Amino acid sequence: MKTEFMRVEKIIIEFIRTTVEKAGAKGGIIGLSGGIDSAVVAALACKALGSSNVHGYFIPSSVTPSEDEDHVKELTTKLGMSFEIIPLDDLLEQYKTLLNPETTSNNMAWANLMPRVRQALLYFKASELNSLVLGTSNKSELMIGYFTKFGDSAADLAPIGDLYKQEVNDLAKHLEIPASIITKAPSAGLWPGQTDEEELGFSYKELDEILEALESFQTVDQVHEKTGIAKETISRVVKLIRLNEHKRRPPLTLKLGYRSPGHDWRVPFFT
Amino acid sequence: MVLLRVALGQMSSLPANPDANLKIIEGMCERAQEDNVDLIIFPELSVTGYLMHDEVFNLAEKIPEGNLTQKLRKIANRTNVSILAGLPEKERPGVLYNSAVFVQPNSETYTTRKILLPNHSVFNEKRYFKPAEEIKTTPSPWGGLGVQICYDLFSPEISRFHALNGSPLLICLSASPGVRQQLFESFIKARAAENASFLIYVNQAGVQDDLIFWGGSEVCDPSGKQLLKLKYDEPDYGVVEIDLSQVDRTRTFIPTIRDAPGWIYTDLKEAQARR
Repeated sequence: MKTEFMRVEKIIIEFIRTTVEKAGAKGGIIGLSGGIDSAVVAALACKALGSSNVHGYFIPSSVTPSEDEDHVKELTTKLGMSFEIIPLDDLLEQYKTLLNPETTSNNMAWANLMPRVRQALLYFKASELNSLVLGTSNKSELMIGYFTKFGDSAADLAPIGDLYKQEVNDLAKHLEIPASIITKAPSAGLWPGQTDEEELGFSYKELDEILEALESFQTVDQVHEKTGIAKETISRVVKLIRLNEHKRRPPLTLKLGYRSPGHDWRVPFFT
Repeated sequence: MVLLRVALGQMSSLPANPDANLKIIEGMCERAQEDNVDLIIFPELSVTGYLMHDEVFNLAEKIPEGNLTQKLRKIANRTNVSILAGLPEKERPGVLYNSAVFVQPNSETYTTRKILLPNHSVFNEKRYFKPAEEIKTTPSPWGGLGVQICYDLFSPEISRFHALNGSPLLICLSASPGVRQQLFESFIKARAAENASFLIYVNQAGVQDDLIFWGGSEVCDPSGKQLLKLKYDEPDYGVVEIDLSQVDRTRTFIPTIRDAPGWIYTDLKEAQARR
Protein backbone atom coordinates (compact mmCIF):
# COMPACT_ATOMS: atom_id res chain seq x y z
CA MET A 1 0.00 0.00 0.00
CA LYS A 2 1.58 3.19 -1.17
CA THR A 3 0.50 6.30 0.57
CA GLU A 4 2.51 9.41 0.37
CA PHE A 5 2.44 10.04 4.10
CA MET A 6 3.96 13.47 4.13
CA ARG A 7 1.34 14.68 1.71
CA VAL A 8 -1.57 12.79 3.32
CA GLU A 9 -0.57 14.14 6.72
CA LYS A 10 -0.46 17.69 5.38
CA ILE A 11 -3.82 17.37 3.61
CA ILE A 12 -5.61 15.90 6.65
CA ILE A 13 -4.18 18.58 8.92
CA GLU A 14 -5.42 21.22 6.49
CA PHE A 15 -8.83 19.51 6.39
CA ILE A 16 -9.18 19.50 10.19
CA ARG A 17 -7.94 23.07 10.52
CA THR A 18 -10.19 24.59 7.84
CA THR A 19 -13.27 22.58 8.87
CA VAL A 20 -13.01 23.66 12.50
CA GLU A 21 -12.33 27.23 11.44
CA LYS A 22 -15.22 27.41 8.96
CA ALA A 23 -17.58 25.94 11.53
CA GLY A 24 -16.62 28.80 13.82
CA ALA A 25 -15.45 26.31 16.44
CA LYS A 26 -12.59 26.67 18.86
CA GLY A 27 -11.17 23.19 18.87
CA GLY A 28 -11.61 19.46 18.61
CA ILE A 29 -13.01 16.75 20.87
CA ILE A 30 -11.64 13.21 20.64
CA GLY A 31 -12.66 10.05 22.41
CA LEU A 32 -9.35 8.39 23.22
CA SER A 33 -9.46 4.61 23.51
CA GLY A 34 -5.76 3.90 23.77
CA GLY A 35 -5.94 2.44 20.28
CA ILE A 36 -4.20 3.42 17.09
CA ASP A 37 -7.07 5.17 15.29
CA SER A 38 -7.83 7.73 18.01
CA ALA A 39 -4.07 8.17 18.58
CA VAL A 40 -3.53 9.09 14.93
CA VAL A 41 -6.49 11.49 14.88
CA ALA A 42 -5.25 13.10 18.12
CA ALA A 43 -1.76 13.57 16.70
CA LEU A 44 -3.11 15.12 13.50
CA ALA A 45 -5.54 17.33 15.44
CA CYS A 46 -2.77 18.66 17.69
CA LYS A 47 -0.77 19.63 14.62
CA ALA A 48 -3.84 21.23 13.01
CA LEU A 49 -5.34 23.06 15.98
CA GLY A 50 -2.56 23.29 18.53
CA SER A 51 -2.52 20.80 21.39
CA SER A 52 -4.21 23.22 23.81
CA ASN A 53 -7.30 23.23 21.57
CA VAL A 54 -7.64 19.45 21.42
CA HIS A 55 -9.55 17.86 24.26
CA GLY A 56 -9.23 14.13 24.81
CA TYR A 57 -11.62 11.99 26.82
CA PHE A 58 -10.88 8.49 28.00
CA ILE A 59 -14.19 6.87 28.91
CA PRO A 60 -13.46 3.39 30.25
CA SER A 61 -15.88 0.75 31.49
CA SER A 62 -15.29 -2.38 33.56
CA VAL A 63 -14.42 -4.29 30.36
CA THR A 64 -11.71 -1.83 29.33
CA PRO A 65 -8.19 -3.30 29.74
CA SER A 66 -6.19 -1.36 32.37
CA GLU A 67 -3.26 -0.93 29.96
CA ASP A 68 -5.42 1.30 27.76
CA GLU A 69 -5.25 4.09 30.33
CA ASP A 70 -1.45 3.84 30.37
CA HIS A 71 -1.43 4.11 26.58
CA VAL A 72 -3.65 7.18 26.63
CA LYS A 73 -1.36 8.79 29.21
CA GLU A 74 1.72 7.97 27.17
CA LEU A 75 0.13 9.41 24.02
CA THR A 76 -1.21 12.63 25.54
CA THR A 77 2.07 13.31 27.33
CA LYS A 78 3.90 12.95 24.04
CA LEU A 79 1.43 15.21 22.23
CA GLY A 80 1.27 17.74 25.05
CA MET A 81 -2.52 17.63 25.14
CA SER A 82 -4.83 17.36 28.10
CA PHE A 83 -7.24 14.54 28.70
CA GLU A 84 -9.97 13.73 31.17
CA ILE A 85 -11.18 10.39 32.43
CA ILE A 86 -14.94 9.88 32.58
CA PRO A 87 -15.78 6.50 34.14
CA LEU A 88 -18.71 4.91 32.33
CA ASP A 89 -19.80 2.21 34.76
CA ASP A 90 -22.05 4.31 37.02
CA LEU A 91 -23.95 5.54 34.00
CA LEU A 92 -24.22 2.04 32.54
CA GLU A 93 -25.57 0.83 35.87
CA GLN A 94 -28.34 3.41 35.58
CA TYR A 95 -29.16 2.09 32.12
CA LYS A 96 -29.18 -1.46 33.44
CA THR A 97 -31.59 -0.54 36.23
CA LEU A 98 -33.80 1.22 33.74
CA LEU A 99 -33.65 -1.31 30.91
CA ASN A 100 -33.57 -4.51 33.00
CA PRO A 101 -30.92 -6.71 31.35
CA GLU A 102 -32.57 -9.92 32.54
CA THR A 103 -35.24 -9.40 29.95
CA THR A 104 -32.76 -8.39 27.28
CA SER A 105 -30.77 -11.30 25.98
CA ASN A 106 -29.41 -9.36 23.00
CA ASN A 107 -25.76 -8.82 23.90
CA MET A 108 -25.17 -6.62 20.87
CA ALA A 109 -27.77 -4.15 22.18
CA TRP A 110 -25.69 -3.76 25.37
CA ALA A 111 -22.40 -3.72 23.49
CA ASN A 112 -23.68 -0.91 21.25
CA LEU A 113 -24.97 1.11 24.18
CA MET A 114 -21.44 1.84 25.42
CA PRO A 115 -20.20 3.69 22.31
CA ARG A 116 -23.50 5.59 22.09
CA VAL A 117 -23.25 6.81 25.67
CA ARG A 118 -19.60 7.72 25.07
CA GLN A 119 -20.55 9.79 22.04
CA ALA A 120 -23.36 11.53 23.99
CA LEU A 121 -20.74 12.59 26.54
CA LEU A 122 -18.38 13.78 23.79
CA TYR A 123 -21.12 15.86 22.20
CA PHE A 124 -21.88 17.42 25.60
CA LYS A 125 -18.24 18.45 25.82
CA ALA A 126 -18.34 19.71 22.23
CA SER A 127 -21.25 22.02 23.03
CA GLU A 128 -19.65 23.13 26.26
CA LEU A 129 -16.32 23.94 24.62
CA ASN A 130 -17.67 25.10 21.25
CA SER A 131 -15.68 22.37 19.54
CA LEU A 132 -16.21 19.75 16.87
CA VAL A 133 -16.20 16.01 17.54
CA LEU A 134 -13.41 14.41 15.53
CA GLY A 135 -14.33 10.93 14.36
CA THR A 136 -11.83 8.11 14.57
CA SER A 137 -13.39 5.60 12.16
CA ASN A 138 -11.16 4.19 9.44
CA LYS A 139 -12.13 3.04 5.96
CA SER A 140 -11.81 -0.68 6.72
CA GLU A 141 -14.35 -0.62 9.53
CA LEU A 142 -16.62 1.85 7.75
CA MET A 143 -16.83 -0.37 4.68
CA ILE A 144 -17.76 -3.55 6.55
CA GLY A 145 -19.90 -1.79 9.14
CA TYR A 146 -17.67 -2.73 12.06
CA PHE A 147 -18.78 0.16 14.22
CA THR A 148 -21.81 1.32 16.18
CA LYS A 149 -24.34 3.41 14.28
CA PHE A 150 -24.70 6.77 16.07
CA GLY A 151 -21.94 5.52 18.38
CA ASP A 152 -18.23 5.68 17.65
CA SER A 153 -19.01 6.76 14.06
CA ALA A 154 -20.99 9.82 15.20
CA ALA A 155 -18.79 12.81 14.55
CA ASP A 156 -18.59 16.16 12.81
CA LEU A 157 -15.76 15.10 10.55
CA ALA A 158 -13.93 11.84 9.89
CA PRO A 159 -10.30 12.72 9.16
CA ILE A 160 -9.13 9.12 8.58
CA GLY A 161 -12.40 7.75 7.22
CA ASP A 162 -10.86 7.12 3.80
CA LEU A 163 -7.71 5.40 5.04
CA TYR A 164 -7.58 1.62 5.38
CA LYS A 165 -6.40 0.18 8.70
CA GLN A 166 -3.02 -0.72 7.21
CA GLU A 167 -2.62 2.83 5.99
CA VAL A 168 -3.53 4.14 9.45
CA ASN A 169 -0.82 1.86 10.87
CA ASP A 170 1.72 3.23 8.42
CA LEU A 171 0.64 6.79 9.13
CA ALA A 172 0.95 6.08 12.88
CA LYS A 173 4.59 5.06 12.40
CA HIS A 174 5.20 8.18 10.34
CA LEU A 175 3.62 10.28 13.13
CA GLU A 176 5.77 8.46 15.71
CA ILE A 177 2.82 7.23 17.74
CA PRO A 178 4.17 5.22 20.74
CA ALA A 179 5.07 1.67 19.74
CA SER A 180 2.98 0.24 22.58
CA ILE A 181 -0.13 1.55 20.81
CA ILE A 182 0.95 0.52 17.30
CA THR A 183 1.83 -3.04 18.22
CA LYS A 184 -1.15 -4.04 20.37
CA ALA A 185 -4.01 -6.00 18.87
CA PRO A 186 -6.88 -3.76 17.71
CA SER A 187 -9.95 -4.10 19.92
CA ALA A 188 -13.35 -2.43 20.02
CA GLY A 189 -13.31 -3.09 23.78
CA LEU A 190 -16.81 -4.52 23.73
CA TRP A 191 -15.99 -7.31 26.20
CA PRO A 192 -12.89 -8.44 28.10
CA GLY A 193 -10.17 -9.87 25.89
CA GLN A 194 -12.01 -9.04 22.67
CA THR A 195 -9.89 -8.48 19.57
CA ASP A 196 -11.26 -7.23 16.26
CA GLU A 197 -9.50 -9.80 14.12
CA GLU A 198 -10.72 -12.73 16.23
CA GLU A 199 -14.27 -11.46 16.15
CA LEU A 200 -14.22 -10.75 12.42
CA GLY A 201 -12.59 -14.04 11.47
CA PHE A 202 -10.01 -12.41 9.20
CA SER A 203 -7.04 -10.11 9.69
CA TYR A 204 -7.02 -6.41 8.81
CA LYS A 205 -4.26 -7.24 6.33
CA GLU A 206 -6.57 -9.66 4.52
CA LEU A 207 -9.53 -7.31 4.84
CA ASP A 208 -7.62 -4.40 3.35
CA GLU A 209 -6.34 -6.50 0.46
CA ILE A 210 -9.92 -7.55 -0.29
CA LEU A 211 -11.34 -4.04 0.04
CA GLU A 212 -8.67 -2.47 -2.13
CA ALA A 213 -9.36 -4.97 -4.88
CA LEU A 214 -13.13 -4.54 -4.60
CA GLU A 215 -12.67 -0.78 -4.62
CA SER A 216 -11.10 -1.05 -8.05
CA PHE A 217 -14.12 -2.96 -9.39
CA GLN A 218 -12.64 -6.47 -9.21
CA THR A 219 -14.98 -9.45 -8.96
CA VAL A 220 -14.81 -12.08 -6.18
CA ASP A 221 -12.99 -14.46 -8.54
CA GLN A 222 -10.48 -11.80 -9.53
CA VAL A 223 -9.84 -10.86 -5.88
CA HIS A 224 -9.31 -14.54 -5.08
CA GLU A 225 -6.87 -14.96 -7.96
CA LYS A 226 -4.96 -11.87 -6.96
CA THR A 227 -4.77 -12.42 -3.19
CA GLY A 228 -5.23 -16.16 -2.73
CA ILE A 229 -7.74 -15.41 0.03
CA ALA A 230 -10.63 -17.90 0.25
CA LYS A 231 -13.65 -16.98 -1.88
CA GLU A 232 -15.92 -17.48 1.13
CA THR A 233 -14.05 -14.76 3.02
CA ILE A 234 -14.21 -12.39 0.06
CA SER A 235 -17.93 -13.06 -0.40
CA ARG A 236 -18.49 -12.39 3.28
CA VAL A 237 -16.81 -9.01 2.94
CA VAL A 238 -18.95 -8.22 -0.12
CA LYS A 239 -22.03 -9.14 1.89
CA LEU A 240 -20.97 -7.02 4.87
CA ILE A 241 -20.43 -4.00 2.61
CA ARG A 242 -23.95 -4.33 1.25
CA LEU A 243 -25.60 -5.09 4.59
CA ASN A 244 -24.11 -2.03 6.23
CA GLU A 245 -24.80 0.76 3.75
CA HIS A 246 -27.48 1.95 6.19
CA LYS A 247 -24.74 2.68 8.74
CA ARG A 248 -22.75 4.82 6.33
CA ARG A 249 -25.57 7.03 5.13
CA PRO A 250 -27.93 9.47 6.86
CA PRO A 251 -31.38 7.97 7.50
CA LEU A 252 -33.40 7.43 4.35
CA THR A 253 -35.65 10.39 3.72
CA LEU A 254 -38.59 9.45 1.58
CA LYS A 255 -38.70 11.88 -1.30
CA LEU A 256 -42.10 13.54 -1.43
CA GLY A 257 -41.43 17.15 -2.35
CA TYR A 258 -40.14 19.13 -5.29
CA ARG A 259 -36.65 19.34 -3.82
CA SER A 260 -35.86 17.21 -0.81
CA PRO A 261 -33.31 17.16 2.04
CA GLY A 262 -30.58 14.63 1.40
CA HIS A 263 -31.67 14.24 -2.22
CA ASP A 264 -31.72 17.22 -4.50
CA TRP A 265 -31.91 20.28 -2.25
CA ARG A 266 -28.21 20.87 -2.05
CA VAL A 267 -26.40 23.90 -0.70
CA PRO A 268 -22.71 24.48 0.06
CA PHE A 269 -21.54 22.95 3.33
CA PHE A 270 -19.80 26.17 4.25
CA THR A 271 -20.21 29.58 2.71
CA MET B 1 -58.62 -6.08 -37.08
CA VAL B 2 -55.09 -6.67 -35.81
CA LEU B 3 -55.66 -7.75 -32.25
CA LEU B 4 -52.80 -7.74 -29.80
CA ARG B 5 -53.11 -8.80 -26.18
CA VAL B 6 -50.66 -6.96 -23.97
CA ALA B 7 -49.91 -7.41 -20.27
CA LEU B 8 -48.38 -4.69 -18.08
CA GLY B 9 -46.09 -6.09 -15.40
CA GLN B 10 -45.92 -3.19 -12.96
CA MET B 11 -43.37 -4.42 -10.44
CA SER B 12 -41.22 -3.23 -7.59
CA SER B 13 -37.77 -4.48 -8.60
CA LEU B 14 -35.34 -5.28 -5.84
CA PRO B 15 -32.11 -3.30 -6.24
CA ALA B 16 -29.22 -5.42 -7.55
CA ASN B 17 -31.15 -8.66 -7.09
CA PRO B 18 -31.78 -10.12 -10.55
CA ASP B 19 -32.61 -13.60 -9.22
CA ALA B 20 -35.53 -12.27 -7.18
CA ASN B 21 -36.64 -9.97 -10.01
CA LEU B 22 -36.54 -12.77 -12.59
CA LYS B 23 -38.79 -14.82 -10.32
CA ILE B 24 -41.34 -11.99 -10.26
CA ILE B 25 -41.01 -11.61 -14.03
CA GLU B 26 -41.43 -15.36 -14.55
CA GLY B 27 -44.53 -15.43 -12.32
CA MET B 28 -46.12 -12.59 -14.27
CA CYS B 29 -45.21 -14.26 -17.60
CA GLU B 30 -46.96 -17.45 -16.47
CA ARG B 31 -50.01 -15.41 -15.58
CA ALA B 32 -49.79 -13.74 -18.99
CA GLN B 33 -49.62 -17.13 -20.66
CA GLU B 34 -52.88 -18.11 -18.97
CA ASP B 35 -54.38 -14.83 -20.17
CA ASN B 36 -53.35 -15.62 -23.78
CA VAL B 37 -51.11 -12.59 -23.86
CA ASP B 38 -48.87 -11.91 -26.88
CA LEU B 39 -46.55 -9.37 -25.25
CA ILE B 40 -45.76 -8.52 -21.64
CA ILE B 41 -43.94 -5.32 -20.71
CA PHE B 42 -41.93 -4.66 -17.57
CA PRO B 43 -40.47 -1.36 -16.28
CA GLU B 44 -37.10 0.26 -16.88
CA LEU B 45 -34.22 -1.78 -15.40
CA SER B 46 -36.81 -4.24 -14.11
CA VAL B 47 -34.42 -7.20 -14.25
CA THR B 48 -31.68 -5.70 -12.07
CA GLY B 49 -33.61 -3.04 -10.16
CA TYR B 50 -33.22 0.68 -10.77
CA LEU B 51 -31.40 1.76 -7.61
CA MET B 52 -28.45 -0.61 -7.94
CA HIS B 53 -25.86 2.19 -7.81
CA ASP B 54 -22.28 0.95 -8.44
CA GLU B 55 -23.45 -2.68 -8.55
CA VAL B 56 -24.45 -1.91 -12.13
CA PHE B 57 -20.84 -2.51 -13.13
CA ASN B 58 -21.15 -6.14 -12.02
CA LEU B 59 -24.65 -6.68 -13.38
CA ALA B 60 -24.48 -5.12 -16.85
CA GLU B 61 -24.12 -7.70 -19.59
CA LYS B 62 -23.70 -8.22 -23.30
CA ILE B 63 -27.00 -8.66 -25.10
CA PRO B 64 -28.07 -11.26 -26.15
CA GLU B 65 -25.21 -13.49 -24.89
CA GLY B 66 -25.57 -12.43 -21.27
CA ASN B 67 -26.97 -14.62 -18.54
CA LEU B 68 -29.98 -12.42 -17.76
CA THR B 69 -31.05 -12.10 -21.38
CA GLN B 70 -30.70 -15.87 -21.78
CA LYS B 71 -32.97 -16.39 -18.78
CA LEU B 72 -35.54 -14.02 -20.28
CA ARG B 73 -35.33 -16.01 -23.52
CA LYS B 74 -36.03 -19.24 -21.67
CA ILE B 75 -39.07 -17.71 -19.98
CA ALA B 76 -40.35 -16.40 -23.34
CA ASN B 77 -39.79 -19.81 -24.95
CA ARG B 78 -41.54 -21.68 -22.17
CA THR B 79 -44.53 -19.37 -21.75
CA ASN B 80 -44.83 -18.47 -25.44
CA VAL B 81 -45.13 -14.79 -24.47
CA SER B 82 -42.90 -12.06 -25.90
CA ILE B 83 -41.14 -10.05 -23.20
CA LEU B 84 -40.00 -6.46 -23.13
CA ALA B 85 -37.93 -5.71 -20.02
CA GLY B 86 -35.20 -3.36 -18.89
CA LEU B 87 -31.62 -4.24 -17.99
CA PRO B 88 -28.17 -2.65 -18.09
CA GLU B 89 -26.22 -3.50 -21.23
CA LYS B 90 -22.44 -3.74 -21.36
CA GLU B 91 -21.52 -3.22 -24.96
CA ARG B 92 -17.77 -3.32 -24.35
CA PRO B 93 -15.48 -2.63 -21.40
CA GLY B 94 -16.47 0.63 -19.73
CA VAL B 95 -19.43 1.27 -22.05
CA LEU B 96 -22.83 0.68 -20.49
CA TYR B 97 -26.30 1.49 -21.77
CA ASN B 98 -29.62 1.67 -20.01
CA SER B 99 -31.40 -0.76 -22.32
CA ALA B 100 -34.65 -2.55 -22.99
CA VAL B 101 -34.63 -6.05 -24.51
CA PHE B 102 -37.45 -7.41 -26.63
CA VAL B 103 -37.31 -11.19 -26.48
CA GLN B 104 -39.65 -13.33 -28.54
CA PRO B 105 -40.60 -17.00 -27.97
CA ASN B 106 -38.54 -17.93 -31.05
CA SER B 107 -35.54 -16.27 -29.31
CA GLU B 108 -35.32 -13.32 -31.69
CA THR B 109 -33.97 -10.45 -29.61
CA TYR B 110 -33.81 -6.69 -30.17
CA THR B 111 -32.28 -4.05 -27.98
CA THR B 112 -33.27 -0.41 -27.49
CA ARG B 113 -30.92 1.98 -25.70
CA LYS B 114 -32.08 4.97 -23.71
CA ILE B 115 -31.41 8.28 -25.43
CA LEU B 116 -32.12 10.85 -22.69
CA LEU B 117 -30.22 10.10 -19.50
CA PRO B 118 -31.41 12.23 -16.57
CA ASN B 119 -28.79 13.61 -14.24
CA HIS B 120 -30.92 16.22 -12.52
CA SER B 121 -32.87 15.93 -9.27
CA VAL B 122 -32.35 12.44 -7.75
CA PHE B 123 -31.00 10.96 -10.99
CA ASN B 124 -27.42 9.95 -11.61
CA GLU B 125 -27.65 8.04 -14.89
CA LYS B 126 -24.80 9.78 -16.70
CA ARG B 127 -22.46 8.45 -14.05
CA TYR B 128 -23.15 4.96 -15.33
CA PHE B 129 -24.51 5.02 -18.86
CA LYS B 130 -23.74 6.29 -22.30
CA PRO B 131 -26.68 7.72 -24.25
CA ALA B 132 -27.82 5.85 -27.36
CA GLU B 133 -26.18 7.11 -30.56
CA GLU B 134 -28.99 6.01 -32.86
CA ILE B 135 -32.73 5.60 -32.87
CA LYS B 136 -34.30 2.43 -34.25
CA THR B 137 -37.85 1.16 -34.36
CA THR B 138 -38.05 -2.42 -33.09
CA PRO B 139 -39.47 -4.91 -35.61
CA SER B 140 -42.15 -7.23 -34.26
CA PRO B 141 -44.87 -9.55 -35.62
CA TRP B 142 -47.34 -6.69 -34.99
CA GLY B 143 -45.43 -3.92 -36.74
CA GLY B 144 -42.73 -1.59 -35.52
CA LEU B 145 -42.55 -0.95 -31.79
CA GLY B 146 -41.55 2.56 -30.76
CA VAL B 147 -39.68 1.51 -27.63
CA GLN B 148 -38.36 4.25 -25.36
CA ILE B 149 -37.18 4.47 -21.81
CA CYS B 150 -38.60 6.82 -19.18
CA TYR B 151 -37.14 10.33 -19.70
CA ASP B 152 -37.14 9.66 -23.48
CA LEU B 153 -40.86 10.41 -23.33
CA PHE B 154 -40.02 14.04 -22.46
CA SER B 155 -38.57 14.52 -25.93
CA PRO B 156 -41.49 14.40 -28.40
CA GLU B 157 -39.16 13.91 -31.39
CA ILE B 158 -38.51 10.35 -30.27
CA SER B 159 -42.18 9.32 -30.44
CA ARG B 160 -42.57 11.29 -33.66
CA PHE B 161 -39.65 9.44 -35.25
CA HIS B 162 -41.26 6.07 -34.49
CA ALA B 163 -44.65 7.18 -35.77
CA LEU B 164 -43.11 8.53 -39.00
CA ASN B 165 -41.20 5.27 -39.24
CA GLY B 166 -44.51 3.40 -39.34
CA SER B 167 -44.90 2.33 -35.73
CA PRO B 168 -48.50 1.97 -34.52
CA LEU B 169 -47.43 1.30 -30.94
CA LEU B 170 -45.26 3.46 -28.69
CA ILE B 171 -43.98 1.77 -25.54
CA CYS B 172 -42.31 3.48 -22.59
CA LEU B 173 -40.52 1.50 -19.88
CA SER B 174 -40.16 3.69 -16.83
CA ALA B 175 -38.73 4.02 -13.33
CA SER B 176 -40.32 7.28 -12.28
CA PRO B 177 -40.39 8.47 -8.68
CA GLY B 178 -43.24 10.50 -7.20
CA VAL B 179 -42.92 14.11 -8.22
CA ARG B 180 -42.96 13.48 -11.96
CA GLN B 181 -46.32 11.76 -12.05
CA GLN B 182 -48.27 14.74 -13.42
CA LEU B 183 -45.78 15.36 -16.20
CA PHE B 184 -45.75 11.74 -17.29
CA GLU B 185 -49.52 11.45 -17.19
CA SER B 186 -49.77 14.50 -19.46
CA PHE B 187 -47.10 13.25 -21.84
CA ILE B 188 -48.61 9.74 -22.12
CA LYS B 189 -51.86 11.18 -23.49
CA ALA B 190 -50.12 13.82 -25.55
CA ARG B 191 -47.63 11.45 -27.24
CA ALA B 192 -50.45 8.99 -28.06
CA ALA B 193 -52.80 11.60 -29.48
CA GLU B 194 -50.26 13.79 -31.31
CA ASN B 195 -48.86 10.72 -33.07
CA ALA B 196 -52.19 8.88 -33.40
CA SER B 197 -50.48 5.83 -31.94
CA PHE B 198 -51.18 3.50 -29.08
CA LEU B 199 -48.98 4.22 -26.10
CA ILE B 200 -48.22 1.77 -23.33
CA TYR B 201 -46.44 3.09 -20.24
CA VAL B 202 -45.12 0.68 -17.59
CA ASN B 203 -43.60 2.06 -14.40
CA GLN B 204 -41.85 0.69 -11.33
CA ALA B 205 -44.12 0.81 -8.26
CA GLY B 206 -43.58 1.04 -4.53
CA VAL B 207 -41.03 2.36 -2.05
CA GLN B 208 -37.46 1.53 -3.01
CA ASP B 209 -34.81 2.93 -0.67
CA ASP B 210 -35.85 6.55 -0.22
CA LEU B 211 -37.93 6.94 -3.36
CA ILE B 212 -41.55 6.12 -4.06
CA PHE B 213 -42.11 4.92 -7.61
CA TRP B 214 -45.67 5.91 -8.37
CA GLY B 215 -46.75 3.01 -10.61
CA GLY B 216 -49.89 4.13 -12.43
CA SER B 217 -48.95 2.28 -15.62
CA GLU B 218 -51.42 2.88 -18.41
CA VAL B 219 -52.48 2.28 -21.97
CA CYS B 220 -53.80 5.01 -24.24
CA ASP B 221 -55.40 4.55 -27.63
CA PRO B 222 -54.47 6.67 -30.68
CA SER B 223 -57.05 9.29 -29.74
CA GLY B 224 -55.51 9.72 -26.29
CA LYS B 225 -58.28 7.80 -24.54
CA GLN B 226 -57.18 5.78 -21.54
CA LEU B 227 -57.86 2.06 -21.99
CA LEU B 228 -56.22 0.71 -18.85
CA LYS B 229 -54.82 2.22 -15.67
CA LEU B 230 -52.97 0.26 -12.99
CA LYS B 231 -52.76 1.05 -9.29
CA TYR B 232 -50.67 3.88 -7.92
CA ASP B 233 -47.72 3.22 -5.59
CA GLU B 234 -47.87 -0.61 -5.52
CA PRO B 235 -47.16 -3.50 -7.87
CA ASP B 236 -49.99 -4.48 -10.17
CA TYR B 237 -50.74 -6.45 -13.30
CA GLY B 238 -53.22 -5.79 -16.07
CA VAL B 239 -54.12 -7.02 -19.54
CA VAL B 240 -55.53 -5.06 -22.41
CA GLU B 241 -56.53 -6.07 -25.91
CA ILE B 242 -55.81 -3.49 -28.53
CA ASP B 243 -56.85 -3.36 -32.17
CA LEU B 244 -53.88 -1.93 -34.05
CA SER B 245 -56.03 -1.18 -37.09
CA GLN B 246 -57.50 1.67 -35.04
CA VAL B 247 -54.29 3.58 -35.82
CA ASP B 248 -55.26 3.66 -39.50
CA ARG B 249 -58.75 4.96 -38.71
CA THR B 250 -57.48 7.61 -36.30
CA ARG B 251 -54.83 8.80 -38.74
CA THR B 252 -57.54 9.10 -41.37
CA PHE B 253 -59.69 11.16 -39.02
CA ILE B 254 -56.80 13.38 -37.80
CA PRO B 255 -53.82 12.88 -40.15
CA THR B 256 -51.15 14.34 -37.87
CA ILE B 257 -48.46 12.04 -39.20
CA ARG B 258 -49.32 12.77 -42.87
CA ASP B 259 -49.38 16.47 -42.08
CA ALA B 260 -46.15 16.52 -40.07
CA PRO B 261 -44.23 19.36 -41.76
CA GLY B 262 -40.93 17.71 -42.68
CA TRP B 263 -39.16 20.99 -43.49
CA ILE B 264 -39.38 21.97 -39.81
CA TYR B 265 -36.92 19.23 -38.89
CA THR B 266 -34.17 20.98 -40.82
CA ASP B 267 -34.89 24.20 -38.95
CA LEU B 268 -35.19 22.23 -35.73
CA LYS B 269 -31.67 20.92 -36.18
CA GLU B 270 -30.35 24.41 -36.76
CA ALA B 271 -32.25 25.75 -33.74
CA GLN B 272 -30.89 22.93 -31.62
CA ALA B 273 -27.34 23.81 -32.66
CA ARG B 274 -27.95 27.36 -31.41
CA ARG B 275 -29.31 26.12 -28.03
